[in-house]
Amino acid sequence: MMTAARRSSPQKPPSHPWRMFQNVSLGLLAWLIALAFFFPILWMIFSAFKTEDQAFATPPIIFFQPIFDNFVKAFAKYGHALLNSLLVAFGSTILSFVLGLPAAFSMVFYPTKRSRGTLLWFVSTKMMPPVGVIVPLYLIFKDLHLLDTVWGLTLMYTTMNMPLVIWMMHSYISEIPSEILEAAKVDGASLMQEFFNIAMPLATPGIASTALLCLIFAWNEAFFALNLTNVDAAPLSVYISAFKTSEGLFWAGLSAAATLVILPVMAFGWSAQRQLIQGLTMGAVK
Amino acid sequence: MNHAVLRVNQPPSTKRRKSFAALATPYLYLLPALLTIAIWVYKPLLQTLELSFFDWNLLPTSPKVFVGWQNFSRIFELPEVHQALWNTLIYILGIIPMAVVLPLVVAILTEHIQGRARNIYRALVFVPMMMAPVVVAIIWRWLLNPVQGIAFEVFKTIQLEPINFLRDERWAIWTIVFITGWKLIGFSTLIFSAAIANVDRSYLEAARLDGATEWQITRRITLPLISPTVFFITMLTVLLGSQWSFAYINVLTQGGPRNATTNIYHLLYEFGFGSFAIGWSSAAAIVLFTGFGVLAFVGLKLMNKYAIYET
Repeated sequence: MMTAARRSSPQKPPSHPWRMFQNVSLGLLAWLIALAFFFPILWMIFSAFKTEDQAFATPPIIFFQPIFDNFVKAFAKYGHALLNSLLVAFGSTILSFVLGLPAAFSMVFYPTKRSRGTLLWFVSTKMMPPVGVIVPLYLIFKDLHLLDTVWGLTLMYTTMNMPLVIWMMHSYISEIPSEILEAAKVDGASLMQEFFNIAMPLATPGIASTALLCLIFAWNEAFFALNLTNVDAAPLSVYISAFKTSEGLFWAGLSAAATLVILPVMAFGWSAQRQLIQGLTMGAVK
Repeated sequence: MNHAVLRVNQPPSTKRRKSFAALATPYLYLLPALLTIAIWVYKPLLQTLELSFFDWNLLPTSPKVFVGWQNFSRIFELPEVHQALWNTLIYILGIIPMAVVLPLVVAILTEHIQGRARNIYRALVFVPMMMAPVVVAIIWRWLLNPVQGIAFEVFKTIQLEPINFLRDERWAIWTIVFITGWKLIGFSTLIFSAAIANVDRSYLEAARLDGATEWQITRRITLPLISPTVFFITMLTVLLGSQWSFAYINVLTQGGPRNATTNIYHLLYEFGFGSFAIGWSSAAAIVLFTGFGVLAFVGLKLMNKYAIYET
């Protein structure tokens, strides 16, 4: 569309080669930035397929025979943590929706004077630094015997992600044409029916991208996990950061473990890029 | 649940009387979410406020001693706090070029990249943003490792004195700033790209027909139109940038060397779980909440006042 516009503009000064050069070099610059930017990740993934000796070699080895031993070892070592991560990520995502979706629905379909304020209030809780409340949370967890339990961590991540669910689902449900809703009301649909038969099915694409974001955030979280779990319920993120004590001893092994942590996210991210971007940019752009 | 019949879209003036249940149901849908926030966010928050007036070391057996405002006056006398506040400012200002300026440049440069290349480009900038901060910290620790890290190799190759980025007092904080920024580039770039894509094409085409150069178009049309988004990202960075660096400080330097990288978030964490000075930690948290609360309020006011909106 834009190239067409450019070609059709008659007053274009005869600077085409210069402009071409400009565009090409600017484009090259952008790609260079992107590659430099991506290099650290690439380097880690490479190292995950090397032997420890190769990973430590100086100067760095670029061509090598890839091995999978590191992944086999990582799976054996972190299987338990992997299971915890999965349980907590999926559990908290489901719970965030169970709590957040009806709230978002209620604020869109039955708005009051305070709805806008309530919505912003929910979002504002996401601005609160977790480090400021970790001591009381630790005490509450201790009193309720939630320390080092998968259930406790699930509750924490639910609290963390629920405002996001409410915020995003509010925007998605708001996009449902009001005619559909009014038709349903005239037909005598109950609140429950409006929720399950109209709002939910129409908001399914929104639910998918929101859930994806929740899963990723819960999967990546480490602060609550580090402070509220120990061994039994510790997710992958805790094990990865535990490596800081044995600094740089097993870089290939650590790379494999770290690659395992980012692999699901990368796979998800690439396949659902558009939905994720839509979800992330929602609210930020108009 | 059969009260819906009564709610047939009436104008407010002719509102018929609804049963209490019909009026209350929407609130019932809201209640679980409100309770969750009340229990898991506001209760701990109030407890932090309460603890900020006590002297306590987290041991259940030792008594909490009420000390009034003493914690607040004490923390402002501590040199670590001064250092941490100063560092917090460095983090905030240091992250802005990487979280706002560079992404803006990249978003403008890549505006014309189309099709498959665009998807690959997006994926490249997309991945770090979605990665666990812990993994990011580990990657950079390895790259900057003073013995075998790639950075070290590069310095050796170009015959420069290698820098121990995470242990050298002069470099450590800037290293953490850089890593925090590196993680943020992707997010900001995506947001800016989305904002640029939203700009009405007819403005750009009209300007082109009038013979405007690409730079003029960017400068006079695109940038003013996306200014609300730029302001939004800047505000987000100011409010949260220092907080985002916490994960890297925690894994990479623990605030060292000699408090060179500590910021207010990490310091109050250290007070709490490092030296068990719960009173100091809570008082610092309250100061922090108040400070950033005021900043957020001012930012919101400014955003409403100065941002240029389309139409």
